[in-house]
Amino acid sequence: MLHLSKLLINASVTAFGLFLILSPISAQKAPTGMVLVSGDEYYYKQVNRWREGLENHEYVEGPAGDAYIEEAVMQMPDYFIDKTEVTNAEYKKFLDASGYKPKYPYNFLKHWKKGTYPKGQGNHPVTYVDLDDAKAYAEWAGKMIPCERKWQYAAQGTDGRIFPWGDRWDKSKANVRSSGTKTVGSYPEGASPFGALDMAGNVSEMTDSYEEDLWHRFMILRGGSWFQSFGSIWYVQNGIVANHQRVKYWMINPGFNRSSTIGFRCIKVID
Amino acid sequence: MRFFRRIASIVCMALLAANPVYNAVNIEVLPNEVTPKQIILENDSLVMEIQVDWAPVITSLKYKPTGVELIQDERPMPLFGLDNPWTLFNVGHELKEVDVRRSKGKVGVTIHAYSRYLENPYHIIVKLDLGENSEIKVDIQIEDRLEVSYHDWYRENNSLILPGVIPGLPWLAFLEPDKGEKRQVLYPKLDGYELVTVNQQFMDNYHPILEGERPGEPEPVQMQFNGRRGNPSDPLVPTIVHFPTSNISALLYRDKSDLPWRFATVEEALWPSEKLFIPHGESRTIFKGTFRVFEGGWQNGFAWFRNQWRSKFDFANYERPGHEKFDNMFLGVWSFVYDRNIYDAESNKWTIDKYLEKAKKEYDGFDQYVFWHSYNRVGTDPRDQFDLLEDLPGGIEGVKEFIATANDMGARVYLPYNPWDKIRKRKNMYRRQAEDLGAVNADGLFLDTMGGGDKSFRNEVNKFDPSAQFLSEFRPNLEGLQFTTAHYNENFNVRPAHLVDLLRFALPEHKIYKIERVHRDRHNLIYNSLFNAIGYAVWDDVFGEVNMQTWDEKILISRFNRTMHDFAHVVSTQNNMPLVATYNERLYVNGFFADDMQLFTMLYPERDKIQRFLDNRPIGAMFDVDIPEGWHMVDVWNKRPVDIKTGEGKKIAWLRDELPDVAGCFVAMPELIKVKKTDSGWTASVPGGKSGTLELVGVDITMRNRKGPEVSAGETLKFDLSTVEHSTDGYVMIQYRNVNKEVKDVALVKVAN
Repeated sequence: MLHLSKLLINASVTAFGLFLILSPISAQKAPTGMVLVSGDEYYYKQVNRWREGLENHEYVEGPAGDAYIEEAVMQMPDYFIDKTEVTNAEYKKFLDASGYKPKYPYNFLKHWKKGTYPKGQGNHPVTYVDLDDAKAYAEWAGKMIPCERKWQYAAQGTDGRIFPWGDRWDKSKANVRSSGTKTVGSYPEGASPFGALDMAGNVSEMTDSYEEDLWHRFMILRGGSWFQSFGSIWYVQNGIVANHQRVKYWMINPGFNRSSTIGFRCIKVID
Repeated sequence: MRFFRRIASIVCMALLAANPVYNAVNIEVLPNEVTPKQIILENDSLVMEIQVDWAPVITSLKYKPTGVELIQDERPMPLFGLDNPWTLFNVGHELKEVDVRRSKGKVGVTIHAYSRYLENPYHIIVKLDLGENSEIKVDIQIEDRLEVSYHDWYRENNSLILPGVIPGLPWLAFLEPDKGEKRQVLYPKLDGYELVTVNQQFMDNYHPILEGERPGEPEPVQMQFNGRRGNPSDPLVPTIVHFPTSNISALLYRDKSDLPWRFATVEEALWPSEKLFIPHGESRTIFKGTFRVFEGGWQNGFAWFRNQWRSKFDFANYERPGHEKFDNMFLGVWSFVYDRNIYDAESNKWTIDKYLEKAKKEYDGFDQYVFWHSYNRVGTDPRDQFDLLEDLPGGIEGVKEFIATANDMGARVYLPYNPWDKIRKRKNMYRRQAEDLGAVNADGLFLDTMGGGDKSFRNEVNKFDPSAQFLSEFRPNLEGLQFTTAHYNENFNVRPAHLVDLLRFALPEHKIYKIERVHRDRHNLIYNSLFNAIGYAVWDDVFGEVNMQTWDEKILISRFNRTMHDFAHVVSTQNNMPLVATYNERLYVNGFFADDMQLFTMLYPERDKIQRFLDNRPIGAMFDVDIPEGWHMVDVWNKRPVDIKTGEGKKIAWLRDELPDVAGCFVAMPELIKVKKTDSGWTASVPGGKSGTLELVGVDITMRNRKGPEVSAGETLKFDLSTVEHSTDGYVMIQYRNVNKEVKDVALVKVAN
């Protein structure tokens, strides 16, 4: 009897301890428009074709094409990520509130007319913005642009799936090979394990994995977009892009870098 | 350019004059034309005896001007070899028919050979025609003539037997004017050409010789002519055999063949042997072309081929007004414009001026700049290569300004054309590209992934800039060379530094730039550019991946660039010779001959690999030269004097000291500059009231030229060695340039130790 009561006490203490440990997470409610990405041990594997740029990672030749593979096991923290890509309407809100003007405006929000987005496209992802434009928004919103590892974890979870919804490509779950952007969240079936939407297709997403070597500036794009070019092996990887694939995006001037297929989403760290 | 063509015509005429046209052409059939046993074709150059008694064989082939017999008595040359793979049914071709042809200035014979047995369905037809010189036109066909039912039965019931024939064409293998002597063979390999010395063993045994079984022979010399993307029907440099003892050669030139006519080994080249499937009722051309006997080395055979080829070549695009601006270009760069050295993100401005200034310091300047903005960015969105150009800093006007700046700094700029980029499905890509070319005032187009442009593209470009140049990424096919006047000779494999580029010697009007993307070490490539006196293109930013030229490569490139520019007027001459004979079999020398100057590029590729006390040191006699009295010679690469030794009616380029480098560049020229040492220093002058400049050139420790003072050629240049940089153990140079900036004489002054 005494033994049983000891066990009950111990169990209560353990449960309380667990509550104390876990309470900071469960107590964190995801901000509006964001989802919680729960941290865990993560086997990170990233693949890029050799023509996306030479890397110091393992070089693999195979039927699927020669590629570099980067692998790491890491402990991912908890963080929030925008459920969808940042929209035209959200970006307009930022502009109206902040008065932001890019230093070099060529092609900035090229598709907007008279200071606003095309009719009916308020909930389409914002495009024709460069990384500085995206960072300005993120700062205003109290968020950040994700690095590529955080982006991939949010899209993939811990099971190494190839696409946000699973291992098999399904054209009904992403806006790919279409004529343009679509309203964010149009493909609820394509949600990632953490509930993030449009992580495949719609717009390629800028990451904060931006680098300057002695010669160049580039950033990493993730997720593919609505646009897919056909007819040559020499095109940059686009359209259907798996969770683990990346595009090295060489940068020149902002006007050149702003594109109809590139947008972004933000993350928010949990203190 | 017209001037060069005129000179070439004069040279051709002179060659023809040296080889007089013969009128006496005769054919004799013995004992009679009804039952022929022996046929003799003869003109004043050749006499050929063919026996058709059993298997047709050539029993004698004599070159009459020197009386050399090329066929040994005991080794008659079979007119063809045919190995029927149906071994059990190898019934031969025992039936012969001979037709004799006679026409004005030409005689010929056609020999039909076939079998009476149905096991052998192949009918062989050999046509030989002798005209008025030492050429025999050869046409060998095989036809499958068996009736259908029998033919099919044999094929179906002999499934283990290869369905075809192995024809042979042993014309060159059986030539043997000097029994057992070595001979030199130039032949088309699977990838390029090879010049190889064949030894006694080959001729005695005639069996394929394994790699490394030719002890004591120098390594074969690799050569190049056709491009990787050439058409199979493109002309190939003939297979040529040179017999040094008799100093006689023979060549076999293919006009047409259903065989690939490229060979894995020299043995195959001398006795071509390919499996060939001949469908029922069809015929195949085994060989149609020219067999020619001539005096001298393989270079004379190559010169014959060159003249044949050039006579049919359309030079219109090389002679376009304004095209001469591309003449003296030797150093290019394939530039990724995402390079921060070219664009400054802070100011959003191109910085091409700074980039080219740096190149001037490092490389002595770029002549050519490939502007590369599309791959590997295009495809991210619906913008194609033309849209992307418009979105670059400053747009089209910005690119135009970029190009104008580069032009002012001496670089010609090429816009890229990516034929594979069809995102926008434009109806006329050529037109669109030509419009951009005109809009930004580019000097030419870089044809990405292409082996040359075509006529329709050229026509579109002509509407906007008729002088613009096509520069293709790969070697054009031989038709494409007519539209594409420059190309990058891009190698993916490591090639020897002394690889001979025969195209460069056949068509010096065409600009070739060596370039490398895969390997880090590019010393060989730079030396090869010097050796062939062609261009070199720096590629240190390969689509964003940096593969920098090393510091010592930069020095080599700078030296190469300066040497080529100083002597461009010599290396562009059509009077040239690949692989001049040398006194050292490990020394490779190419010659370029102008009226007032001769230039020899040389390589001793094994210099750093073999011990100094072994023979074949690059010292003493180098090669014979044929220069007028009063000329002298300077190694302008190493800045050293070269002696001219005379004796036995010859003049020999002679080195007192060992060649101090893998490479050399000997220039023979009239001694125009007079240098004197005076009490107060040195003086140099060019007597004779010549115009131009006289300049003192220092030599730094890297052997690069360092500019010193200069005066007009009518004045006396007074100098003190302390006023110019020089390495302590070398020389300083005094150069005389004429009004066209061409270096016409170089004098050396030894720096006292």
